[in-house]
Amino acid sequence: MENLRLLFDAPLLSVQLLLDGALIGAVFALAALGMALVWGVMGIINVAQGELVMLGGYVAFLLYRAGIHPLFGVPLAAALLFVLGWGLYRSVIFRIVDKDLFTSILATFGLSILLQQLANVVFGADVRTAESGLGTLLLFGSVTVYGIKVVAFAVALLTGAALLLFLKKSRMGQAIRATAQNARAARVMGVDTDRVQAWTFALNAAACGASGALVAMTWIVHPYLGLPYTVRSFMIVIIAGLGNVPGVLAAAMGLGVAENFAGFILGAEYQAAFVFTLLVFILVWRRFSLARQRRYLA
Amino acid sequence: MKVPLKRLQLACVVLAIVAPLLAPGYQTQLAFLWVMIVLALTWDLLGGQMGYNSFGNVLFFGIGTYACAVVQRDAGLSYLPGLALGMACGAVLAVAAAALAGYGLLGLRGHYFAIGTLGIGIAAAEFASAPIATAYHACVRVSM
Repeated sequence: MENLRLLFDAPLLSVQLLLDGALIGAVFALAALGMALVWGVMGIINVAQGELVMLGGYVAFLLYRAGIHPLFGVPLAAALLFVLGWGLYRSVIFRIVDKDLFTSILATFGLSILLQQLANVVFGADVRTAESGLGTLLLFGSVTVYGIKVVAFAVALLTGAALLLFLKKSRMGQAIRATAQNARAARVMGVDTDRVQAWTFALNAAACGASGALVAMTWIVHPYLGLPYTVRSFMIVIIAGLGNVPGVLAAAMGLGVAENFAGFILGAEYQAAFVFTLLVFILVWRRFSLARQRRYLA
Repeated sequence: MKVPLKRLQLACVVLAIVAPLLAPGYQTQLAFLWVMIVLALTWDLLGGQMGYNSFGNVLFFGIGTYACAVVQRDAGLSYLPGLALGMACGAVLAVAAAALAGYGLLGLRGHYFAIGTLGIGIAAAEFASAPIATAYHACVRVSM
């Protein structure tokens, strides 16, 4: 709790936490956008979302270790994860699209454990980071802004904008939106929904990969990184509501800020615990507020 | 056909009960097998019979293990009475936690219930392991 007093004594520290949280929030938003896409088109909660983020992080780390600047890892991770996402759809996901909820959650949960353990075997359990070599900026005398966080923020926004533009303008993007609105009608109108769903899952994986590469540069990457990212994405999507893009960005930045403050006040070891507890509280709060609305309607 | 199946099941149960005595080298694994059988039965009750796809049963499992371990360590009883008291305490605490969590969570539906229970289970795990993880997260803090 003495950290709380520290916040009041040094208001600039709050600015620091606020800024860090808002910047990292854009990276969360990218993964959440992918989750919303898959949820909207296929009705599947992809529990392996965080593992895709983790794999993207390893792409950036491997590039860094090979002596190439890890920023090139963002497009590379997106491309590689696109292929992986396509493969996962063709091998696993297409089997669970129309199945009941329990099958789909259990299957993607199994997928997440599989990817996590594979990463553990291939890359080892060490905590890694991809050093970007970008300097720091000093604001107002005592607020440090890491260059990489600003770059990550910008790259995440650009990638998200590119994804939205693709959905809006391209033929496949239109087909994806049509399938999300009504899969049956889209099929009747001649849309190959199976192919659309493969594209959707692959695009989601690519977005996760890009976000993971940014995570590895701004933060760390290790094989057990996944689940908090899945939970964050889920939380952001349910706060914003499906298909609400500005809401996703706002919720993600809010989450980043809340997490940073919680991590500072409670101690960093409770940051993940805070994320999961917040999820439960949001779900329960949502249930009670929905119940209240239902009582008004009745 | 009915009778042989019954006999087969009975034979399996008897075999599973005497197995730890027959294969002393695998006692730990076989005891764990029984623990998992009970855990699976509880899941059948919640997920199978009631249709609640819970990923958070491990929360109650964890409460039981911690309660039992603490009671056995601190109550000053000998092994078996300590175990009995610990199990009773674990059960009571787990029921209390379930009553509290169920009040909020059982009203959730579908995806929300599944992810909510997943969250509550992992949140508990994080809180339980946070003191252990302090050293590990210290290096996370540095790289932030």
